[in-house]
Amino acid sequence: MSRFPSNGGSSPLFTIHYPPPGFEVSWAGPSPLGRGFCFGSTEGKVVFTDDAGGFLAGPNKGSVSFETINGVARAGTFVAVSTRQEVNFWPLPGTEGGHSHGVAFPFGAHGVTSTPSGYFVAPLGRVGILTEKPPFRPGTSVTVQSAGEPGMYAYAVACLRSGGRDVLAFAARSAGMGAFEFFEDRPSQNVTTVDFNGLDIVDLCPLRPGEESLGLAALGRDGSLILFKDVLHDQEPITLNYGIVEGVAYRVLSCLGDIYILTSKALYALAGLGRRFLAGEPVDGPTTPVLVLPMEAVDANLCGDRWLLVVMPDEVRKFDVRLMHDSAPQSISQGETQALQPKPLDYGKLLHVHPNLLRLKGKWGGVEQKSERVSASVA
Amino acid sequence: MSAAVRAEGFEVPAMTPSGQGESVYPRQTDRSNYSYMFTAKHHGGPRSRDATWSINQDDEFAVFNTADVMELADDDGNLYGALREGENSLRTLGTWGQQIAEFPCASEGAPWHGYPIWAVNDEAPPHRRGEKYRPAPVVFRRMEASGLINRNTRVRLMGGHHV
Repeated sequence: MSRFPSNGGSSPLFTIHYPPPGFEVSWAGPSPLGRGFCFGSTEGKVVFTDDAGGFLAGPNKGSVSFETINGVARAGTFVAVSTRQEVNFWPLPGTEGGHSHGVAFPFGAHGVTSTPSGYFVAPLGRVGILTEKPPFRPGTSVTVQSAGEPGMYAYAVACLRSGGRDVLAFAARSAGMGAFEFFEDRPSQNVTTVDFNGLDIVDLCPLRPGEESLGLAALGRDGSLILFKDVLHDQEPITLNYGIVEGVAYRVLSCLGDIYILTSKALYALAGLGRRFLAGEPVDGPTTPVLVLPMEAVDANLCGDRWLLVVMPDEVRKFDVRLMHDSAPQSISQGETQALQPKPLDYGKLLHVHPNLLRLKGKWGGVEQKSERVSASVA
Repeated sequence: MSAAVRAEGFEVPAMTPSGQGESVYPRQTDRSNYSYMFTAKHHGGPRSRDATWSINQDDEFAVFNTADVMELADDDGNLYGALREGENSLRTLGTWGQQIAEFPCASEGAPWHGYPIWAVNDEAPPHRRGEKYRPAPVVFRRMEASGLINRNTRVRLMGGHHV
């Protein structure tokens, strides 16, 4: 019951971790306790393991309402666990209050993450974006960045860093996306917004996670990819659509210069696309090798630049992203592509496709988000 | 303007364009013979604060009919519906990407109404008075058991994600 045993390698690219019986995994990602992984369940519980899947702790209560966990993050000595019902803040074991005395913020979130400067950030749908720094105590108020008007929706958030300051970008579904430099001590934030003709933006990620960069990838529900060199100032991002991307797009992730797209049908690894885009190299030709791994997944998250965890109905697949990065050719010259055909692999297909460059003109705008203090309740 | 017409045994107003008042659909559900009313509140345009339908009235009724036929109810009798799209996706029902609709349990004989439900809880107490966010997890499991969604999509929807 208390282990996530792995198969030791059923594929050249990934190993499989099986959850304990009765633990239906809804989220998997880096452990907030340090090395290793954390798994959240549809019953609101969390389990912690080491890199090999060996049990470390749990199952522990993550959600006070026992709702499905959709995000786990750490800031300081607190762990945040998000569900559609509420955002839970738990002190780490051994700290003041102990793990059993958490605080629940009574609004649901689509996920939660933390910034390098130590803030929790959670997209709360039409309520806005939660931005708050620990500690949390009973009666603690939480800051929410809210547009205060209908027309914005926070569905996913990415944290970037520039000039020593946090920059937050958010996916706003059919309203497009927004980005702002986060000033924690200001009563309002100036948000730059862009709407791509109603393109349904469902996720985004930094192209150089953990580094000083405003490079960002945003993902449309139809699989369209929007690349920004500077999400605050880039008025002409590139919008690409790889015709081979099938299914409903769920996640976009990036590390080591590669970009991963998870859809309801497959995981797509776009080798070197992020690196070449940021370097100013052309990306709209058939120069990007695309590794296609068919699978019907639930969710995926990166664990640093080492692992990619993909939640499947009955298992969690742990991909070695360094191995994927090293094994895929990083680019193909224009001359070579004529001779290349899709290359079947024993675990997927390696394709060279010409993406469609969508000439989507973004409709730019701005909105002032007001910071409001909202009370939390004791969990 | 609406005029009264008879629709399958009920004295109901004629269908009117959404946003111009309330009207009752001229058909009843296949299983329980429930009638269904379109409310102006939930057809208020893309920038409305209220959850707003983005599909036409025939499809809106189809969502309700599916909910009734598949008996996708919670313990309080509220119904929940969706429209399948492809193998493992659902159609978008609302202006903010909502894919599940809620139909609060109506009084005996009264027409039902419904709206696309937000994927995450956006009303703190006292508005919710301590209620858990709907639909309850058991409703998603009933949707899976009925074949409307598969296991992957159930887990995603329970997590407040799109499918």
